[in-house]
Amino acid sequence: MRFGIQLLIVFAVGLVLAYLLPWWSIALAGGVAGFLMHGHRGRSFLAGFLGAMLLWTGAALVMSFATGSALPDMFAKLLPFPLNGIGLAFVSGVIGGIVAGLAAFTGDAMRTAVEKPVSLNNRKR
Amino acid sequence: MKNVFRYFVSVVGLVATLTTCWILDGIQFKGMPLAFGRVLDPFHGFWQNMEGPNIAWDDEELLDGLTGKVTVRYDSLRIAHIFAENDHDLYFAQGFVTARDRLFQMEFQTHAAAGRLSEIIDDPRVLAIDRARRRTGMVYAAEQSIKAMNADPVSKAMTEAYSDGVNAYINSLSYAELPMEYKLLSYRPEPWSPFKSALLLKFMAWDLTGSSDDFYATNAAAGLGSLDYERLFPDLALATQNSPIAPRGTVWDSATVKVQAPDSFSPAGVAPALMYPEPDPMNGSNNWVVAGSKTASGHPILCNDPHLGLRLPSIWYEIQLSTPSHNVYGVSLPGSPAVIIGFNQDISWGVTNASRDVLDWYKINFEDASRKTYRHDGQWLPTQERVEVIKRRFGPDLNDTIIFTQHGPVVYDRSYSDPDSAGPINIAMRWAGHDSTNEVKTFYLLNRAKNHDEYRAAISIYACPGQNFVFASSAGDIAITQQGRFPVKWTHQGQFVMDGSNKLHLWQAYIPASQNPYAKNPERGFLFSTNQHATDTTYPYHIYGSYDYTRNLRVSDALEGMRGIKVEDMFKLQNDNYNEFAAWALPTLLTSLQGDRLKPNAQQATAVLAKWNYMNDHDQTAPSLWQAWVMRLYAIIWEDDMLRVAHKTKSPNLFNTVYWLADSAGLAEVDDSRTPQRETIKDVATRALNEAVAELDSFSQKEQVPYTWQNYNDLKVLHLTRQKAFSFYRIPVGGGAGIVNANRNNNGASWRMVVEMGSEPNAYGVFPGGQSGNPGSYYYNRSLSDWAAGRYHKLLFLKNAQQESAALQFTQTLQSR
Repeated sequence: MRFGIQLLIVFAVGLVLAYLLPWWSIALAGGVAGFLMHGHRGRSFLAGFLGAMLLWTGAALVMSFATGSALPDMFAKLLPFPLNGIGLAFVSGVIGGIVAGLAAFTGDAMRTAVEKPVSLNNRKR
Repeated sequence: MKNVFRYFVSVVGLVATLTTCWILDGIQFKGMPLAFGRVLDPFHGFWQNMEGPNIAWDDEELLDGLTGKVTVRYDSLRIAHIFAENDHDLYFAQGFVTARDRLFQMEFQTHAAAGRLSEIIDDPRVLAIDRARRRTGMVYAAEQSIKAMNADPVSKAMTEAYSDGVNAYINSLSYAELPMEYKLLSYRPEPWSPFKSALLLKFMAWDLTGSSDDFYATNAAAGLGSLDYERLFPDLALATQNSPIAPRGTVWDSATVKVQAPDSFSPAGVAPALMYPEPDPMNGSNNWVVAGSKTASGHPILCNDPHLGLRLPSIWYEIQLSTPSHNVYGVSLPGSPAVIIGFNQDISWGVTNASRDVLDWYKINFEDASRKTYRHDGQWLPTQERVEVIKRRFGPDLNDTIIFTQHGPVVYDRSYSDPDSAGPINIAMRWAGHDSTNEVKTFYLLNRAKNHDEYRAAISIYACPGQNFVFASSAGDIAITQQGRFPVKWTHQGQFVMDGSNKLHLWQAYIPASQNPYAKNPERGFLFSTNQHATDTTYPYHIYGSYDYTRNLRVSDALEGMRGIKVEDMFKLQNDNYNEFAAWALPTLLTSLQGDRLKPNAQQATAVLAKWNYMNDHDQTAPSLWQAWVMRLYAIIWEDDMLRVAHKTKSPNLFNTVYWLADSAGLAEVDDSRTPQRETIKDVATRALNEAVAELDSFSQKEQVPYTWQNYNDLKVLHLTRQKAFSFYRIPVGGGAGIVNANRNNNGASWRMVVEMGSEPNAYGVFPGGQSGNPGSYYYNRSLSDWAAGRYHKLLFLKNAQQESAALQFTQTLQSR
């Protein structure tokens, strides 16, 4: 549940910030989600990763299908390994995911660090 | 202790996050900028550059600088039809609209012209090209050009308005809206200026006049001796069979300008080989016009297909430009205002390259190592020094000192010479493109010309690159003019590297525009040019250049025989794949084969060639066999003879070679001087075919495709960055070198236009690409397959901004805030 909410926060905050800030806004989305729903850094990372990937891969695929553009396939050919445009949407998602995941991890860790004492039931390692 | 650990984890996380962001925001890896985060972000990165068939811009665009309201109507090919209230707004809007589709191309081409590509792509090969551009004085040429443009209030105003329009677009761009190439290469566009328009036009001038045989000729003359040189490199070889631009029998006044030739002249000896990026010498074109007497409608029909490097974004941008006082349609060059090839209500015009030699080289003797003075006409004259700073993206600047004499830049000197040459040698360049001339004014006037006299007046000031301007009017006139500022030359002047100390070797005077080759309303009812010789031998001035030998014969034969011509007949002729060269040379060569010495696969090839209809169609193998065979033959014949030339050179012309082969007198050079026995045409033709077929077989094996003409000719349309991902290869189109449909390698019909000049122009056109320069757009290569198949689009010539048409898809209003 917490995981789902955290993932949704990354997705929603990331979507809103994308219209206001450059690409690294996905890190802020991850950080905010990690900070708000802190308690388990690994879970935060995963939620940040998947939330951002869902957003980036999803947006890339939706726009691809809406325009029918050949550009993703062309761009995929620039990479040193064989890939198509759909694959590139997933690669993009992984990039966004790593950034948001790390940021979520950090947000979680920061909240834990500033918030002492830490309640035990939030720390199920 | 635990608290310290928590802080530690936070700090580690923060550092990891920021480091990742920093790396993904852009780093340099082996001279390549990589910015995975920026580029792959779907909300700002390259995904934002995807565009479908629908135009999704605002209905209204507010742009500071416009004086009135501009209506831009887009048709189904995304061609902009611009309706403005005055000239200023028209060219402002042209700049804005063109930049929106072609900004990357506009900046990249002008960076290339200015020798500034290293600022974007830091690579040793790019640096070498940049340096060559600087040393050949491209920036100097544009500086001279802008002086002439600014001296004329009309061209000054139009280039400035255009520039303001481009900048209005550049200033409106967010990162997400940048063309995808900027994202990929991680840089931002800089402001546009009229100077960049000048650079672009000089870039085109270079493309069409920058190819030079002078070094090769100098080396060949030195190695072969003057007798053999004259025999093997005749000045007007085969010209007597050609159909010149000004029809045979044209009566010329005697020369009104004469120049003094030196008492004696001999080529100046060993020269360095060419190091500069030489343009494709196959750049050429066709244009023709048929009078109403030969057409079904009784109205003249004008046709043009310029053969240039085929690139994406396309070299041409189709556009309609209209104000209350004029209305013109055609193709423009992204980066320059006005229409370059096109038509209006009253006239149409088209261009081909004049192919005249307006690029010469002079050996310079400096007084001493300071290079402050050089010898000329018995005196030491002062030089000028210019330091070019080539900025590199990642490396240190390269400062290059270039000395200028009155001839022009000393391109080759102690800091820039070829390892193949005997030693450092100082050679200056004299190029018509360095003169202060104003070409854009011609197009301003042509766009508005209403009749033959206004056409002649418009082109009379046009200087470089020399062009064959073909003309037709709805009043029924047809005409052609070879226009440019051509130096008056004595025989052999500028054919070899010249003596920089002799004033008689300089360009002494220019041919008056009124004496340039010209013809109007000939009895035969047609005029044409295919980069062939401009005149017959009665023309009062010496003409030297590199000319077409075959297309002119095909076009003149075709037009001569045609009656009741319709536009569809013209489509067919523009797409004509008939191999004139093969048609006259192949029968002789086939009879020269020694059947018993042919390998089995070469025997099969003979059968294919014997049945060939001489059409270079894309799905045939015969054109590949012919091409491979004749090129092999050509190489075999000259490989031993040209060994006499110690330095880089070119073999005699291919067409001449085969002509001499077929001639009863024969060609002594057929014999391989390195073997004891005496080879004949039979030996070399047989050997060449065996080797050609072997070459094609190994081609097929290596490429895993049959050697059809499509595969072997491999016509490609390359993205400006030469990235394969954005380019197209092996386009299914026929034609080839010396063929009317002149498509080969990376060069071909860059625009095909057919205009019937009735009461309303009835116009058709197509180019191998699309209106958008964005590889992510539906309109990037929208017309490529139509072009390859020889299909045309009816050109939508709107009478006014309100006219309705089913072909229109979107209207945008531009006005000031």
